[in-house]
Amino acid sequence: MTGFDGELYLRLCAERMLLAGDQNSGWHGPLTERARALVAVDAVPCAVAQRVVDDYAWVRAVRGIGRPHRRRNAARSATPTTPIGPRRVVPCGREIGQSWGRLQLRYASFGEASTRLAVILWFDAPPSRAIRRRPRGPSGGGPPTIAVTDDRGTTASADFSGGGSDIEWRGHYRTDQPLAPDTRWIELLGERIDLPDRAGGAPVEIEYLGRADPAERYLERYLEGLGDQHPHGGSVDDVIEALIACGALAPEATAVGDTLTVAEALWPTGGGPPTATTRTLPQPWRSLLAARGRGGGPAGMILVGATTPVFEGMSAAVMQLESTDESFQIEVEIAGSTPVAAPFPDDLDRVGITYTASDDRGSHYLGGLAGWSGSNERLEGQVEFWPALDPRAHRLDLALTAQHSRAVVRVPLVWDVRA
Amino acid sequence: MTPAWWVGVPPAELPVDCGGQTHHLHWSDGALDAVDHTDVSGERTLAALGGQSHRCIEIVDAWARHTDDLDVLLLGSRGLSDPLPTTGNDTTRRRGGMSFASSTAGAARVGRWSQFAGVSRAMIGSASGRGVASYSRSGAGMVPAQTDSGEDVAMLVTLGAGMPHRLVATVAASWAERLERGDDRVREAMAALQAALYGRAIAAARVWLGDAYLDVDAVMCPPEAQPAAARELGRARLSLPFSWLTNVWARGFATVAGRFCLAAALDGPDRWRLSTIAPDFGPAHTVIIDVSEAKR
Repeated sequence: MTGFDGELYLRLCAERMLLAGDQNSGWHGPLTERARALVAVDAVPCAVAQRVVDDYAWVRAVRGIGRPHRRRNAARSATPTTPIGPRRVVPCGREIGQSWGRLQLRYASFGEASTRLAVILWFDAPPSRAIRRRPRGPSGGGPPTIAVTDDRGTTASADFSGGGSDIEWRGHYRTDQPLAPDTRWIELLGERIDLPDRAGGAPVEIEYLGRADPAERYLERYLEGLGDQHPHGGSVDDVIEALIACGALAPEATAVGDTLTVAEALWPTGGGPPTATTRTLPQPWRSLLAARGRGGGPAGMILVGATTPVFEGMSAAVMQLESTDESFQIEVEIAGSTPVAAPFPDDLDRVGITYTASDDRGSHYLGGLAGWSGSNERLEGQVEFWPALDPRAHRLDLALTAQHSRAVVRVPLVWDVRA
Repeated sequence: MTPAWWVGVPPAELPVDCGGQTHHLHWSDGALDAVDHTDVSGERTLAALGGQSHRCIEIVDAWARHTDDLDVLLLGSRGLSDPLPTTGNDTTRRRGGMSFASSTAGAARVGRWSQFAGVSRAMIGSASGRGVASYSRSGAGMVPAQTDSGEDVAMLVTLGAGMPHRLVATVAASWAERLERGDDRVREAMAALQAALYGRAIAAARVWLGDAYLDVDAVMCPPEAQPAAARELGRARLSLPFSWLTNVWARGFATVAGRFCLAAALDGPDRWRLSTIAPDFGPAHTVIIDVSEAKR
């Protein structure tokens, strides 16, 4: 990268995008894509790249395009991450009738700071009447705050977060103080629920990614992070062009051709069916693209209850895995000062996570965030994987990959709940 | 002959709603004047004491604070193909108040502060009630506490009436001079300076050749190098010094008579000698512009 000026490269790209004048396409995305790629291969300091991205977001805002924008503060101070403590996750599978409808308690997760109850709420039809009778939450509507008690006599208040329709809400209650992790039962809404004994969660290993070429590793992560979602605003071409411009990638590199083939297969430019040949692609893409659209997954739920040690400034917990005919989903919680659950955070100094999985039959799976909530330091959400889980598989390795390492959660496919 | 950077940039006037009256800000010879205020220093002092603030003076003071601010080059228009909304003078759209600074750049017309004893720091509500201005005292007199510099710049580059163009020219002139004398600040600003030249040169070249998507390269050559233009493999390539922004672009000489201007020099009073090229990228030819009639 001798002689390459990353800041100048980004500023000139931004000038070209500004002058292209297509206000609808949004040129903030492509600039951020290029900046992130250059940061990943150390072609420009993160703070410099962020400054350029922020500068041109401001340029856009002054022209009435995009959101009002302010420059970010100087580099975020990296505070040590407290690992997410061990969890006891136990199935409940209990429905509780209420005057307004029913609450299904799916599972309970006992952590060091709080207890989390995964629930589905059904409100009686018709919705208009149900709403009138529906208990009122803290903001005046929605699910109510409830009290939960453990076998030590500790009672905690729990608020709901989640979403849904007029008749069904899915989400969880989180208590304002932790209940005893080894409690034999909990009480809520006037009912006692006995909890089964359960050993610790699925085993977790941290794997280091080794000394792979940083540009090729970035391209791999880029595709994994996108999953099957079309890149917003930017494109694979932007990333490849930036990596070639800085000298991190040779134009004739195999990774360039492979990446473009995968991109064409995922998002055909002609709008028709994919035409690119994927049989020669490396894994996981060969397996993924061959199985795209495959259904036939087993229907059921597994309580994973795995927590990772701190890796790359973050710690993660995988609470459960739920499989359907078309796909499977995991519930995750991420804690840390710099990471974020999304693969491509807006802030360039945050480490994004990509989600992949593979089973003992050699099939590969790719995950994308289906929804998340929380603060910068603690996020929780659902990751949805495609294609559908192979019903013949006995073990699934879930990988949460950061920049230089990944946490692999090894999940025996022993179903706690079969639909 | 090297003229002052503002020579050849025509005067401009901006109407301003100032306390319910229509006032005018006048720009000429590189300076902005609040021409309807006879005692700018006195009125500034009164405003600092909680009296009525004056929009004219607020704008003049904001201008003075940003005469070498790279953010002006960043935010300002690249040319006709990059229009900005003219909302800067719309007082109803602005949030917060202005901060006041004693000026060194452009001090000929603004920033002559009265010495102000006894006021160490005060937060003073603006007369319009739209916000507050923050003042503090330094050794030299009344000095502003910075409020929001970015908001200032965004206001200035959307003023309308050609004022933003003149502020961009002011800032470009300041940095062109620093480049020529090898000022230490240039090194850190180099990427931003190159981008400022690049965007405006490309915008001008595309207007010149009538192709909004023309593939153009524009590189910044050293101040002493000869500017040049060529077409290589269907791509226009410009090599221009940063001072092209003040010598050519700011004076409206970028395209003249269907030709692209590489350099401009004063060739007698009100007479400009422009080095220009035609769209075939042939040899440079001189175009003479005489503005003496226009100035009568």
